Amino acid sequence: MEPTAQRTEAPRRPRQWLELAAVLLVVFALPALFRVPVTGPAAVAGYGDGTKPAGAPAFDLAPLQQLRAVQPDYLFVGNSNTTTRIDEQRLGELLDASVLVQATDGTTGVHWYLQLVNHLIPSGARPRTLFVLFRDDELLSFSQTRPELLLAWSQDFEPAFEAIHQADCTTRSMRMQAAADRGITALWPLAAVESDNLYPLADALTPAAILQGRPATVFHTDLNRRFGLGHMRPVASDGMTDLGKHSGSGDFAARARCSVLPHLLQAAADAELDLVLVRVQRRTWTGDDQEIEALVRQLADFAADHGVPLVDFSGDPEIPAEWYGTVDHIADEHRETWTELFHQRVFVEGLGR
Amino acid sequence: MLFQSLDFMAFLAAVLVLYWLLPRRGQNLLLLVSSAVFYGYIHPWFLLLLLTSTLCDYGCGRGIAERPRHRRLWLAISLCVNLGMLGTFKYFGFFVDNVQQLCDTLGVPLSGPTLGLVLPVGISFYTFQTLGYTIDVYRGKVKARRDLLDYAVFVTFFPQLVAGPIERASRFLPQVEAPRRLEPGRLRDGLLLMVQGFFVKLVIADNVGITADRVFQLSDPGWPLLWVGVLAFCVQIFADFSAYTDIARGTARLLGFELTENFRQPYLSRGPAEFWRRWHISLSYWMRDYIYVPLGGSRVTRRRWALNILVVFGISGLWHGASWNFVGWGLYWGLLIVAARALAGITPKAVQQAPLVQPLRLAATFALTCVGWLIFRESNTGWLLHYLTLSPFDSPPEDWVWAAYLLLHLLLCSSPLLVRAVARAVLIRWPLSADRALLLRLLVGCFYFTGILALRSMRGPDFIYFQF
Repeated sequence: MEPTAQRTEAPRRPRQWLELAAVLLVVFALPALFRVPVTGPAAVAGYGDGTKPAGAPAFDLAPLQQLRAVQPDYLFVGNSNTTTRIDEQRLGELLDASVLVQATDGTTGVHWYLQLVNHLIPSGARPRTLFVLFRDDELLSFSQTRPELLLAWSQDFEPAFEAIHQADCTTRSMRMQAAADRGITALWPLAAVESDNLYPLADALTPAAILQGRPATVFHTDLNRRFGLGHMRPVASDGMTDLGKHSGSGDFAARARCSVLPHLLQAAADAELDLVLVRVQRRTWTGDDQEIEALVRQLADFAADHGVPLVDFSGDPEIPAEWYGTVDHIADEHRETWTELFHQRVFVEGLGR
Repeated sequence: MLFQSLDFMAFLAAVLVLYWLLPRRGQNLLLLVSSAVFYGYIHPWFLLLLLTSTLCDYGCGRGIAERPRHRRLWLAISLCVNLGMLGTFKYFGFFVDNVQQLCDTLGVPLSGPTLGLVLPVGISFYTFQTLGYTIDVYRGKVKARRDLLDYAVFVTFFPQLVAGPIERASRFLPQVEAPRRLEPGRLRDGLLLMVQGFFVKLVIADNVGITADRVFQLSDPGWPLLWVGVLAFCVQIFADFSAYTDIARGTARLLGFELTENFRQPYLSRGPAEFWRRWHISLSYWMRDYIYVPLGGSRVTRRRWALNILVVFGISGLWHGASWNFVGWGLYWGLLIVAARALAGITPKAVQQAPLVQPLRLAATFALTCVGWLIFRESNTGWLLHYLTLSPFDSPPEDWVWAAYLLLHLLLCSSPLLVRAVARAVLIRWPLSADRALLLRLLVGCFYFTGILALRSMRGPDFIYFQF
């Protein structure tokens, strides 16, 4: 059998090369011809030029109007870690003053900066203190979370964004990745599609009995609500890298230059606002992450240089693990106690002041 | 380095070009260097463990060959070093935690040492592979190798280093030692297998994984949502692991190697024993040859055989991870195999082989497999017990709606796997001519690649089996 196999192999090799060429052509080259109209969050890309893209939502006046109406003595800005910690009513009672929490889930430093320059300062309200509550590096990230809020809270042109855009904030690996992505998209335009295309397909196949007359968008909103934070196990936060993971990597100066932090501090100083930064503790905080701790120390020094104190609640012995609800949030039943602890630390003991 | 990264693509392209320009010795040297780059890409210190395991078993193999009077000693050294490494990096924290808990329960508070060690990726796979070599040399089934380079390539071969298949020395070392020729047919097959693997990982596993993860994060899942989540995990873990194997086998083919098949449509099994002949085959056979057979296998009393099965599956569960749910999962499979044999003993052969019974056996095995995946997925005993006591009658009505939708999404995502299984069965019965078969493979390949471009999940987690 062996000699026969060898005799028949020779003429077959050219054919095998042809077959390999056919694989390369059909499997890899043919999909290069497929194109679909790309629809997606292109609006966000407008920030790359520091301008608001066409078709952006109208400016959101509601927070500004609320500030004018309430004229708070103490204003709190942050994300869901603020709303789950600060009990407006209880703190108001303790301070005998008006307290307002203007915090929105999923926001970071970029949004808080916009709230300061586009809501608080133009509103004319002058709280005695503006508290910005953050986790680890949230003031140092120029992340694109909640892009719809970035659009709704910004003016047509944001000089701070333009300044950040002009700064060289990309790392070598980011530039390489971007170049590779561009190359792949040039070869295969279909690769530009970045959405969960299987959900629209599933929607199309879903019987009316399941949708119960709801449009797909409403159905998905309801579905997302079922899987929302309010229905999550506490331990589930460990796997929620998007919400819970922060990075202390990178040089502080470079990260600050590529963030809104200097602009935030400067804007507060220009408006003669008493700003206090408050670092809230993550559920999984142990103090062992040296990079994060070093970053926060440098952040505190940087803020102090601008006359802004930083209160750090990480490692506070009075905050037990049982207080936590979902992710890094404080459970509803412990919010009041956390607020009282905050009052004790900041207003009685004067931490960070 | 991750298979699904652009870094790997660039790395593989560079390695392939160089590789096929070199003679066999140069190829092996390149494989060793590239495997070191691949493995040490993120944590270079992991290479020290790989080096230790390689040198230890090479030395022990030589020791057994050259000093046969002390062969037991050499085997013991290999066992101690490999299992010691595995124990330290994988099980030390688990052991300390359990001792502490036990002491707490007994009212004797104890503060044990904490090493905070990171689990080196793939350690369970390569330690078993090298250990298998030394045991084979000890048993006289494989000759101890003189050439350290060839042996090192056997241990570190990058396509299968991180998550298998666990190769046998008798099968893989001859391939390392033989000259390899550039064959277009192998390149073609390798590429198609890789494309299939990437499609199954990025489009199927990662998309259904979203459902599984979300359901297991819920604090109050109703019965229908929970079991859709379990089904999603059932598809995810198969798609994820088999995809890794496909990519590994495809990459190996591009380099002129043939790796062991690790999966044979496991969800079409008609009994628990058959499942383990189709699922993670390289581990199952490793366990059989190096643990089950030395324990006496099936040539013992029934009671002893049942004990052997439980021991083997308990160890297999522990191999998957340092957690009690993995041990429970292993023992669960052991019990199923024992029970299935007992059932077979009292069921007439005619009934067992009746055509009508076959779909029932398949469905029952699949349902039991799903229960197994629930044990595997849920590491918290309290939650596991809660899940097992959920009743379909107490579920919120809305959960049935969400479950129905997610089930539909799951079926849509996994439909390529279902179509593939049916097509295989049809093609075995009615084979196509070579030309038509090639045309079909090209079209399927085109579909896979287009799917990767347009339907890949942007979530991009690691392969599940990396953690083992």
